[in-house]
Amino acid sequence: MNEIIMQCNDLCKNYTGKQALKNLNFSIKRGRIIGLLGPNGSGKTTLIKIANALLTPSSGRILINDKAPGIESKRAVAYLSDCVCLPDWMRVGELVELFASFYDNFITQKAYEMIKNLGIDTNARLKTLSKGNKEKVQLILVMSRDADLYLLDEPMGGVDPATRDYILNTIISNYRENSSVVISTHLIADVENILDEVIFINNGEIVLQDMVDNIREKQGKSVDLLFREVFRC
Amino acid sequence: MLGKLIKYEFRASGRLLLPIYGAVVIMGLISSIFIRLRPDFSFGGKLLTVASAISMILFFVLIVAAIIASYIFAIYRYKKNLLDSEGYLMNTLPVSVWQNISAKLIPAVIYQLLSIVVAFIAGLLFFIIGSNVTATDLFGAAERFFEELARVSNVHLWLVLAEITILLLISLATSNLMVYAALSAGHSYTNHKMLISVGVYVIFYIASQFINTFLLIAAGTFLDNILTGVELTDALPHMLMGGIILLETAYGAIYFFISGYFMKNKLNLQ
Amino acid sequence: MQWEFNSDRAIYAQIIEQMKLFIVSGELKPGNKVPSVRELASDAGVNPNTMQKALSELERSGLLFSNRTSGRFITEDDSMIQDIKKELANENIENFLKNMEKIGFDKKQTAELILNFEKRG
Repeated sequence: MNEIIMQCNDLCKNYTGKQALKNLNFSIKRGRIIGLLGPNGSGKTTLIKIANALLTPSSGRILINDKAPGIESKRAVAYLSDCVCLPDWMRVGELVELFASFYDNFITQKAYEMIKNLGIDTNARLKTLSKGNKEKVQLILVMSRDADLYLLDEPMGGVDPATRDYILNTIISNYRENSSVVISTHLIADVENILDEVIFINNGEIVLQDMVDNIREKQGKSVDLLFREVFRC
Repeated sequence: MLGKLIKYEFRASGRLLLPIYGAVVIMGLISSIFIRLRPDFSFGGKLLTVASAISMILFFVLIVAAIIASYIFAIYRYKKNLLDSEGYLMNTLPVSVWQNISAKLIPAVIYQLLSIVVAFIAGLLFFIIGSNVTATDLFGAAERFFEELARVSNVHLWLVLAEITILLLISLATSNLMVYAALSAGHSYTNHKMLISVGVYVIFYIASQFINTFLLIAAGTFLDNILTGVELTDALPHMLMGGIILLETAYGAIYFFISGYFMKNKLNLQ
Repeated sequence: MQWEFNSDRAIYAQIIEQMKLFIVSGELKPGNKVPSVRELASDAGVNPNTMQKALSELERSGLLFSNRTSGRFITEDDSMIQDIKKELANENIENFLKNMEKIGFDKKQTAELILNFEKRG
């Protein structure tokens, strides 16, 4: 098994009149929880979408398990989008079955168990759930997969602190040794304790990639503080 | 995988279309019963006459609505499920773009066919119940008509029916694929996605009209040259029909390819 | 178990300290089984990798020992626990003295203050 799960080579993405990603070169290793940290509009979502083949790079490439995004990478990657984008007329149970039928690494029993623990009715249609519960269901569907790489785009955007704790706990307790989790967020204090490694991204460029313990030991400051210094306005 | 995608799409579309189809049949029954009762209207008077007229109007409106809905919904499903928010899920499933497009196309064509079949059956029911003609009479008449047709001309009835059916299927598919291709191309842009899609559709339309005209002229010249003096054979209409089917298939294939190209290489979900 | 983390030091080092504290204070009893890495990580809200690293470190120091089939246990060696206790006490005193120095008391003066404090209390 290759130690590197995802890598970017000279990855660029231009929108009309704007460079969203500028020559990204970095790699992500197996067995780590990584924070993709940057202010809004720094290119986090663009990067994650390219890795999921929802956007195509303008130049350069991104490789997952040594292959460009495609059917095979979609089997290996579990993606949490930054919006609740599931067909909301479907019942929770139907969504579980939908995921189970398309992803062979989906563990149905695990999903049902987590949904039951939340007290969510599997017969309820997604659109009848509260915003917090919608996000939880979506996360459960993603984390119930035995994937190689989890790409979570703003998993805690706009939810209350209790839900935030639930989300972090779900990530920790479903994390598997040989897989990697990338969490994109700007809420650093919340995720800091569960990260192995951080990647700072700003204006489409990587400004720092380091292990959290290194940052704390060498600089004697939290990632949150370092982030505030690096991105001081 | 394709089977699963199609199953999902059937459910998603059926949720809206099947109730409309059901309403068409029910409205047909109601209005035909009204007509059936008309001789006995003496007891109900004006009210029943008005109700009967309204039910008939509703019936025809529903037939048109069902057929239109099956077309509009095909476009809506493609856009919403593949190119809008739900595309985040559909485009990250481990399936190819070709499977995703096919899984939109096949149910769309079947529902469009179904809308025509439902309209036909509802009309037939309306006719049978509303008038004194029985189903046996009707089918008997149809049979005699076809027999007569076969006697006076040497048309191969089944061949013609097969050709018409195939042409109907292919042109339904192609008309959907043309919309898919325009939407896929238009949505590869960051701004004005819908406007560009419509523009692309118009370009496709004009281009295909241009090509058709050109081919028609070419075919005419060809026939003039080859067939001058030769008696028109029975095969000629079938050749023409075959040619049209081939042409439609070619258009369909091109639009299918264009849709897939943009979905695979230019997808721009945001 | 109540976990608390500073934000400016490596988490695994803080986990080690707190585990020691739990053992010394008797919250984790000698000879008892330690919860699984996953449970502890989830409980503390930290990365399982980090928890693993900290537990391995504690195992190396002998404070924990692992049984291949049944998991990790807390040492029953009381002298070792006492040593840890002293070590923690020394660390605390050191920190305290450092802080007192900042305020302007040397060791002798501090000791005096403590004695006076005792009498008053």
